[in-house]
Amino acid sequence: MKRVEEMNYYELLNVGLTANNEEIQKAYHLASQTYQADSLALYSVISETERTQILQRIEKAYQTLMDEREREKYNHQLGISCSRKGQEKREEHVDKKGKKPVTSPTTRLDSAKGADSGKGADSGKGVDLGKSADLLRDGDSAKENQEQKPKELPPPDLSDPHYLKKLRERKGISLQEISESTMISVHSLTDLERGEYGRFPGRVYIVGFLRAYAEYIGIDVQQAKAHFEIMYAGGKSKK
Amino acid sequence: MLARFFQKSEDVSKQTESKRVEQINKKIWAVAGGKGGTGKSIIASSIAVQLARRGKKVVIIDADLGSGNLHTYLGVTPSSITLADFLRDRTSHLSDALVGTQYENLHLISDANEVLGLANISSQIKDKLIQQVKELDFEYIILDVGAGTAYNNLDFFLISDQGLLVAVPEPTSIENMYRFIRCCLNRKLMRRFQGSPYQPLIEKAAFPKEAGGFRTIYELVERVYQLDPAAAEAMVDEILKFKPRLIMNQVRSQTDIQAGDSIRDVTRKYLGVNLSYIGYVTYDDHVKLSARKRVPLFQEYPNSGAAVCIRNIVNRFLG
Repeated sequence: MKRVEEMNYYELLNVGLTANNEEIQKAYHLASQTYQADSLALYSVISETERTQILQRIEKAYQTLMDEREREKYNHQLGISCSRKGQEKREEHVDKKGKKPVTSPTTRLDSAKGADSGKGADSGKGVDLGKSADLLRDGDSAKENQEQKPKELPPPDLSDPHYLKKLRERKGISLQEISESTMISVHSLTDLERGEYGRFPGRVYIVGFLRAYAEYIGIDVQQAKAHFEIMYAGGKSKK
Repeated sequence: MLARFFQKSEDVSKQTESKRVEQINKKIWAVAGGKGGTGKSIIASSIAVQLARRGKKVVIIDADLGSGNLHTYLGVTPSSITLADFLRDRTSHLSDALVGTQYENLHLISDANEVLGLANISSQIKDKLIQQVKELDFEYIILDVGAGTAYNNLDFFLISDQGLLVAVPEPTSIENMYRFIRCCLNRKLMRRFQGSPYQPLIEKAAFPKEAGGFRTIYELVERVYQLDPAAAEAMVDEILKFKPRLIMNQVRSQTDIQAGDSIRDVTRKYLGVNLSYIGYVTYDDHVKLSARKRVPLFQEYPNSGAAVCIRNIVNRFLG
């Protein structure tokens, strides 16, 4: 849950941090269609001023993310330290381990238009009649991930600052995947994992996000909260 | 204090676990949409038929109180005992209203009646109905929910494990769907926080245009957070748990299909609700033809465009 005004460019366009230009282009196309004056989807929800504002931000987001230099500067502003290459490598690794490749948010955006053609859905011409969207990942992928739990590894120590990240990586789940299901931005999830609690508007957000994160990756919510309490208390005492 | 907090979480966890176990054996899917004429009943009945054809034990209930016509889509003659008899206390068991269909695994609870005032049932009767719906011995219980945002419709939708919203690519349908989503969320929060000091705030959220009302769900959460962070946390939990799914019906073009993606984006960004877009059904004259013949779409036109789309949606759910 995040107000539109607080969303970063990636969130505005519904793309992951590692999105390539083609994905950004597609996402931009959909976003600009969505917020056109005659868009069906806007009816009764937002005012004309809000529509103009978000459209301007979408335009700015597109221009920034499509320009390599501007994007780097922007990432730096956001405090995104992981390089795109590094992240792509990690996803590749997950894929080689046999788990299904991480679907980018752009694929989500496209899926109702027939992006699931590679999965044996009926083919058609023009409108792609007969295909349906591949958007059932929220619950289903969580189940799949639970089935692939590593068996014997002991859990990391609750006071380990990388507790959440370690558990997530063991399960081969990417932040993008969690973000798609929970609607929490990748940026916020990264902050959650790093214990950057000061970046959240309040404790309520942190705990709510933490619960959604833990439930999605299939770890004990209480343990995750205990980890948070330790890190939170540690952060306060440092001050 | 920390211990109490975790104890609370543990209780919630146990409840979630027992609910999960229940869900393994029984799934309630509700089909709604906020507006009449969007094809809810044909989609609900087709989903039920498709599940039954896949070997699942299914019952479909006409929860469109006072306006039900599922029996027509399924080609079933209503039995002498219908949902109306249960609602009027003429029979004490909902299962008495079960009637078989041409599909061995599929049963119907019909609402075929002309009883004045049946759409306006009391909350006690509604609670009794919901309780008995949950007790029905079927793997899948499909609820065909009526149009509009009456409490009955919202409550039927909210008891489901899967809430499916059917919209057509028209402004009135989309407007009513957004309204339905907002009302569902408010209803969900009102029930969760009934009797709490925050109930009046939630009620204000239901009237965003009134003085002191909250225009968005974010404003409500922030206000509650100022008063009680723990309550706000519980509120965020409730909001994140609400995950309706959208089916775009009667699509005729790529633009219509794409409207589903746009609706999902707007719902997530502006209503704060995690709406998923699970598929679309093409505009297809065979739907009308099968209804005229009073024969299920899957029986008369199993390979029509609409039937293929619905089959795909069900297949996605079942995996």
